Amino acid sequence: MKTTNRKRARATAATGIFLLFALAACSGGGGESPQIHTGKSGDKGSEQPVEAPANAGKTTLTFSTFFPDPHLQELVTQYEALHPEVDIQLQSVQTDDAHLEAEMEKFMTQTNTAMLAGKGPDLLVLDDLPAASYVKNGLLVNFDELIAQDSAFKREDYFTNILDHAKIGGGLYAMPISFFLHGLAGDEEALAQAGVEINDDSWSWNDFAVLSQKLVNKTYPHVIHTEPEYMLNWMVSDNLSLFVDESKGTAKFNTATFTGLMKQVQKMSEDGVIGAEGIPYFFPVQINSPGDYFESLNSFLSSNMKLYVKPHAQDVGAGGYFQPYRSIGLNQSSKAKEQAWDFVKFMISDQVPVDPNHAGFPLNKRLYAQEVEQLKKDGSVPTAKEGPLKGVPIQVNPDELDALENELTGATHLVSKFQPDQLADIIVEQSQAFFSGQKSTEDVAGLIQNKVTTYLNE
Amino acid sequence: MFLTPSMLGFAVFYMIPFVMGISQSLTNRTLGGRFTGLSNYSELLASGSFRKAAANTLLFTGVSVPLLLALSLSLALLINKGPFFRQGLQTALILPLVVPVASVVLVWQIFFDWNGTLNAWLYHGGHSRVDWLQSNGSMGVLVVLYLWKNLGYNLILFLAGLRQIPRDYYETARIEGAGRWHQFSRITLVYLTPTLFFVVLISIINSFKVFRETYLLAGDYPYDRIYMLQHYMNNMFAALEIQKLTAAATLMVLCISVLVMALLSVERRFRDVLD
Repeated sequence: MKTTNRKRARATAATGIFLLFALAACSGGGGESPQIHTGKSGDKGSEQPVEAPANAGKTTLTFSTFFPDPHLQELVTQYEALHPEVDIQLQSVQTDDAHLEAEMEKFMTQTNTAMLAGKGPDLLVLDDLPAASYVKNGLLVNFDELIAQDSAFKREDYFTNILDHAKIGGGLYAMPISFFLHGLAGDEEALAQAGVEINDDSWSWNDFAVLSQKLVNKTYPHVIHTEPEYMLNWMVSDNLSLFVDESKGTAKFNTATFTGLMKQVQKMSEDGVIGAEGIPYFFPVQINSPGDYFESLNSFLSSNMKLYVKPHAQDVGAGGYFQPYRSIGLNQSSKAKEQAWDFVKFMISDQVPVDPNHAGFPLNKRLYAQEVEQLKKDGSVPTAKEGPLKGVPIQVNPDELDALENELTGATHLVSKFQPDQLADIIVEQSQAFFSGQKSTEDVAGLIQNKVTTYLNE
Repeated sequence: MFLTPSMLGFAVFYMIPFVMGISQSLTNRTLGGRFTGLSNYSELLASGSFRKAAANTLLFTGVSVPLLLALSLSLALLINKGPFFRQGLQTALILPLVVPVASVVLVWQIFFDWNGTLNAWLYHGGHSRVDWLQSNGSMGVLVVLYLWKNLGYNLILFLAGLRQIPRDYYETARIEGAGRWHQFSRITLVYLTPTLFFVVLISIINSFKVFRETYLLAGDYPYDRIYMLQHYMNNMFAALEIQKLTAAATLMVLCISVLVMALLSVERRFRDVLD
């Protein structure tokens, strides 16, 4: 039993890593949008848009992304075919794993500098950039204003919950072409057997900690697949106001409350609530596409997996968590804002269909509906040969698709804040020494207090 | 006339950006910013982390520069005395100048880490471990690193200074019955003073540069004892807070130039006395 468990764990880890690579390469798992309208592009199909010289009378848009992205390239090609008077230059950085970090940093510094100097590309993918700082410096156009002025834009065509909640600094400055869903995959039947009822509309990490006491060592040995330092970070975010007062610049990590929290998490770890080995009740998951919804939930090799909303921080309110993917920003100093906005609308339109396994749920509802139709028509989802399901296709259950749609329309919490999360970094990094038994609670709490205070007072 | 090319270079690469930086520090944002007077400066001085960074930088300079001077001067005197020390020591001390910092820092990191070599020795010796870079001792680590790095350079300067003092002075002094201490304080120190001024200046400027090593050792949010001015500036740059960054840089330049000018005026006065 133990060896199979370990094998499963390894297999899940393998899928995780595989997913990560798929994401890093910015190309969805599965095929690259096979049903492109080739009819429309006609004789223009063979043209290389990137190398096309900017002729007189042509509008040129520069569009910058860090990772080369075939999907964006496809959107550019299609748009240029429809609008021969527009030339879009898609710029990306070619790199390999060994140089990724260095190239990423270089790209960031260069883009930051160009943006601050009022140069910069007309459009840019903001996923890997400090967009919150751009907004603070007034470098991006607020799409909310463009939408309000554009009578042709129909909000109801899109996931309005995403449009409403993907805001940074009070406005929609980063238009997500698509998004991922974050949640917990949990074994519904095992939870019911343990007599635990979950109200995932409103549960908090504190609630999670309480009910996990009832679950541990029953059907499964562990309750959640994670590391204690991440749990500590979640619990802190749950009670953030207890520890951090951002306006006053004070932190209260050297308190009995925080050391108590650390000990509580350590006890959860010792009791087996938290475990990275073996099968738990819950796995934190990121769902990337309608197809991935089925593959991810079934990859845990339990037939009763259901997607639950991640527990909330107390003062946040109900709703699920989403992470924008391919967020587009429009440069405030762009000389061709109207054309750029038109292209952004094209990118979030349903004119270029995508495969149900293409990474990211589309912002456009009709595009999503097409994907769902495709799934229903196919009746099954292919799986990765290297994954735990070993390439065996999964049946598509229409009821589960309805449940997914509920999750999608109910997602109201932005995961990425478009800036580095220093607080989480400090807590996770410093608390490792405590959970591995190398430092005392007081030492670690003192260090966290020390660093967070510096950060808050900058 | 012949200065024009170098003046041009200085202007393009230093003066103009610096003046632009100052003007940035008086506005509220980079693009289309308004003039806001000194509000960035008052915000800067209100920031606890900036004050801490300034205090740390001052403390570091205040401790490490005198230490470095004392150490390098005594070593220079020792080496100057006889050929015995000259060969081995000189090479060993100058080596740190040519070794790339990044590779050295890696070794230091392994040495001082919580799970590093030094703590392993302590542990085997029956002592409890110390998290060197995450305690008030972290400044000590930096001082050692700074001394190691700059000793050789100062040594060369001092040796050159020592050799310029004519031997006759010492001989005359000896004939007239001056003791060793007298020879040192009345001849060596006096004739070494111009070199000394230069070395002090370079040492102070180098002490500001210890940020590079600190950053490589401890990252962008180190323990607050070694949080330097450049940490603050670096983090402000990462957060695109260009106004605060330029304000901090302007203040720092102001402080350094006051220091340098004070030093130079003292030197001028000293030279007048000597003549």
